[in-house]
Amino acid sequence: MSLIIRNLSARVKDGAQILNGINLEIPKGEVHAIMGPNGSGKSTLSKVLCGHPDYEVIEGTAELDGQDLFAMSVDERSRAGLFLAFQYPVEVPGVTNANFMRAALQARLPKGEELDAVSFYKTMRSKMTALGMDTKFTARAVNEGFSGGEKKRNDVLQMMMLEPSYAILDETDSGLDVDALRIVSDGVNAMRAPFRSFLVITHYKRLLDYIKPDVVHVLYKGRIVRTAGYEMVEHIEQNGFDFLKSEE
Amino acid sequence: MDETPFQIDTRGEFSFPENHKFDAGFGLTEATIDYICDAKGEPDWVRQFRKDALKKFNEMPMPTHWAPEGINDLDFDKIRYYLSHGTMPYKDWEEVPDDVKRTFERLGVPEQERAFLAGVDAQYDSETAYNNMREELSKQGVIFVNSTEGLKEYEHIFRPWFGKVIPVTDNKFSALNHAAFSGCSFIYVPTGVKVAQPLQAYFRINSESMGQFERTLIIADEGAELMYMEGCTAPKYDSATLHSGVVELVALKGAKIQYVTVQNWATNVYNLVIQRGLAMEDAEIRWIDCNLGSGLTMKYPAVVLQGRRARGEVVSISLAHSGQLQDTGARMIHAAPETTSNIVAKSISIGEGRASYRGEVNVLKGMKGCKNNTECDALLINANSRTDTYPAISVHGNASAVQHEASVSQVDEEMLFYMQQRGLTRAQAMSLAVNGFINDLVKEFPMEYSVELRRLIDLEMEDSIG
Amino acid sequence: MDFPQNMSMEEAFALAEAEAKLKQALTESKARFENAVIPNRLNEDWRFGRPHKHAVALAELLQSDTPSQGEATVQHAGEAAVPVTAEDDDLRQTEMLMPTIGSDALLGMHLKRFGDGYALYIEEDTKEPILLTYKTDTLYTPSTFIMVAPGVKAHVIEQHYGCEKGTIFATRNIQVAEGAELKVELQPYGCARCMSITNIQNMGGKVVHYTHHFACDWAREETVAEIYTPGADNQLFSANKLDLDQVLDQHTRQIHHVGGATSNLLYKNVVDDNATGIFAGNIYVAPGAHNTDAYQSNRNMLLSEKATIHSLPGLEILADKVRCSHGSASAPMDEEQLFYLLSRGIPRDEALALVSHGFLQDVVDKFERS
Repeated sequence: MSLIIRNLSARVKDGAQILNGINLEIPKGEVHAIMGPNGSGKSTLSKVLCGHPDYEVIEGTAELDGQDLFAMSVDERSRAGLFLAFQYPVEVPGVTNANFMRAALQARLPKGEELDAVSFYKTMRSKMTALGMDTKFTARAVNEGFSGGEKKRNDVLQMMMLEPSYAILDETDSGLDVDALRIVSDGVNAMRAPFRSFLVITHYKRLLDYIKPDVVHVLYKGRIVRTAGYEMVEHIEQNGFDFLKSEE
Repeated sequence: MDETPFQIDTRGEFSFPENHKFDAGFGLTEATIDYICDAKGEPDWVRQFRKDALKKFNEMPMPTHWAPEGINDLDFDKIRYYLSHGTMPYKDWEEVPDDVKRTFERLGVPEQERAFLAGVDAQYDSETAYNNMREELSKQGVIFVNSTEGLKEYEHIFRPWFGKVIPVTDNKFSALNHAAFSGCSFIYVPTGVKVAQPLQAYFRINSESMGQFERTLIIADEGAELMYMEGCTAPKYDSATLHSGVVELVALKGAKIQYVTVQNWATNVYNLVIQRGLAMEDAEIRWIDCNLGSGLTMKYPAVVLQGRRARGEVVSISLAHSGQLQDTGARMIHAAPETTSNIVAKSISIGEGRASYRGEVNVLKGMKGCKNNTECDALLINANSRTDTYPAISVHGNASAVQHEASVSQVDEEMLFYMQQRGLTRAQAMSLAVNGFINDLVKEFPMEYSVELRRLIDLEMEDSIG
Repeated sequence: MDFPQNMSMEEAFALAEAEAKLKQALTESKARFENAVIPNRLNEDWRFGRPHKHAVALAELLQSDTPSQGEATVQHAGEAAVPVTAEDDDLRQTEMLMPTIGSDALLGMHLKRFGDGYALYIEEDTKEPILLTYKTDTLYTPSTFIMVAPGVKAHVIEQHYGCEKGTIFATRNIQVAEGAELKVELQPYGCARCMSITNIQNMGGKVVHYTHHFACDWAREETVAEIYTPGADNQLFSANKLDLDQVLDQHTRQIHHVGGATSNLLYKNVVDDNATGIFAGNIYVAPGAHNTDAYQSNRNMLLSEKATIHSLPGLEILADKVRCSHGSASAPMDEEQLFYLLSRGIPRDEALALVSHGFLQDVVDKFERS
């Protein structure tokens, strides 16, 4: 069981091509990291996998546990077990965090089955506490007026509530201070399991010190140009991405 | 750049003795029209066209939704509708009469010629007095003549679009212009021709109670591009002078037209101008508009976005000091899908001046993927000035997005204090602050104009604060 | 003129002057009703919303023999509520002097039917919101007067029930004294035609006004919120979901007669089906009303191809040292918000409902926090 991406090319709708034939396989239980300079297509990859309407797939396939990912709508992909922690989590005025999560969990239950409100709140509160979030946030509108760090935590909270089998963390470290980074990473690490995998997108070694990846991919100009072990993280930390220029 | 390439008296408070060969007298009647047609030697269809328009003008009411109250002070019978030195444009600078020349010299037209080496179509009262076109323009097939010559010599291009963007019955002033129009420009840029240098026209009213009904029609054929610049000053007189122009732009598929106006009439001039452009598929029309002078300005440059993906933009600066009402704005009519428009308007009210923004953005039924963004900012200087904002936004359907933001503010006292502490006078500090307020828009004007604009603002600040 | 006993000369002069002013105002106001024309599209305040259909029908109904007939109830008011009667000349005068936004003719017709509704003289904090309801299935023309004494905190909810075919045309005069706080809600339900003219006179207190229209075929709402004393604060909110062929025509004026005060407005509409939402607002800052803070925001979410929005926010600023702004945005549902919900596995229909409901809930939250 794994997430398998084959020869994936994609572009901004009516715009520039950003992904140029990506091949990637993430088996269950593994943590993969994607590193790469600005504009290499890291965020585009995560959005294309989730089905963001601004992008279109030109060719290639993606399989989630044997299901055709691109045949599914955005919400179906989510319910199939794919989760994206957004680089910029969206503000949704007037919709409370609690109602938002309830709706998302309810959608995962079989028809006719009602979510148990008491145990829902209990779970949500305990996870919030674990992430160092004020439980009053349940009654606040989703991400509205949150600081950058609070938004990122809120996304990780959602991941912990929805328990996906494949989680993409898109630059989750940006906007987090050291303490918050540690709390968020602890949350992610606690979720590591043989039945779950992670794709961690980042610029920096910082996050990967906390969430140790099994495999590191380097994305450059919409293509995966290197795949290596953790040693690649050290290499990039010391030398930057300059070595990629010889790839052209 | 300390010396501007040309010098314009900022208030236009100068004039020369009148000596007109043709003068149609006061008021507008069929006889006036016959007089104008005879003087200009116009074909019969034009004479009939004018008379039909006159009938409409007499029938139509004054505008209601779009008019400030001051408009009702206007007395149409106390206006002279036609004055001319003759109808033949002076081909050679030497042939231009001395008094006209002196006026132009103060306006800096010869420097303009040297500065730009482009066509200069300068208007003295009603007729084009000087018309010199760069050789290369005519080689490229660009037509740049006055409107009289346009309708005589190029009827086949002129007539199909004349009065089509702004019909006679658009409003009372449109009808008036159709009846009494004289002078100004007709431009045609052929398919694919990109005119590198801006084309220019100067207007000047130099006779008391002289109505000036300039008429401009610019057609950019498919893929053509041009920039047209218009700048004015006027002498100050005791009784009101009416300036009521009509400017029609047609940008065919993929064409681009930029129309730049710097208006600095004397404060006894009514400046009631109708400017509208028609943008076809993938075409772009930009109005870059600066209103400094005139007692009452009513001017709302419009773009009718008629073809898919057409773009429209209005960049507008207006400055109202005591005795002035600048009633300006913009209109964007989204009549095709995926059209986009942008309006940025900044106004400054000084002393007892009043600046108003009036705007219309309309996304018509059935249009999809249209976008408009409007920003209006007003700056108030001194406690007695006034600013108004009256946008009207209509959106049909769930596939378009329209956004309007407006704010009113003053020059920050802390900022003034900071600058004064560094040794600037209050007027200098104020001038810097005001220039800062409109800086991003001034950059949109051609450099010669932007330099002049900054200088005008300095003078205004010295007068009102210094 | 009869002067009360023990009155000083100054007081007597002041009273005489006030009476003379009132007399003149009443004479002028009579003239305004006589000269008023029935709303039509040439009137700036009636440009949209098919006045030739709705306003004309309302005027015809008001001028017809159809009696004003309805049921007025009030709850939790204690001693504060007094029924309005046709004989109450003071209240009638108050209504005569109230400003409209283009509806003098209609107000004149309302005055001819004066004598229904409630006056609330609130002199103690309300523990529970005072609930005022007007109900009719024909035509009803009540008048509401709310006066809140200095330092008193009150909450009033006014509901109009039109039973699908009824027309309710209500006037509302609200006066709030120094240091008083009034939360007031207007909720019209199921009227064929529903019109209200509201005048808020804020004498240095805080007024939080919220309107929510539900299932009215045509509703016209005029709200003139005036500030007469520095330190006053007017907050105007509205949230509406429009569908079918509904027309909601809302007009507001935030008038600052004096400086040093605040007013704020947030009106939001979600427009679906063939419905039309109209917002025409104006902030007027009088000469010399310096240090005014005034904001106005109209936000619309369009959900269908035939939904229509006309938004006319306006500013008229005649003073210096003001902070004023307005904004208007009309757009479909935000794609990023929708994507965010979808990406969490919430089905599309539910995501649409959550986001559009949240769009309006935002106003309710702000109202409740104010």
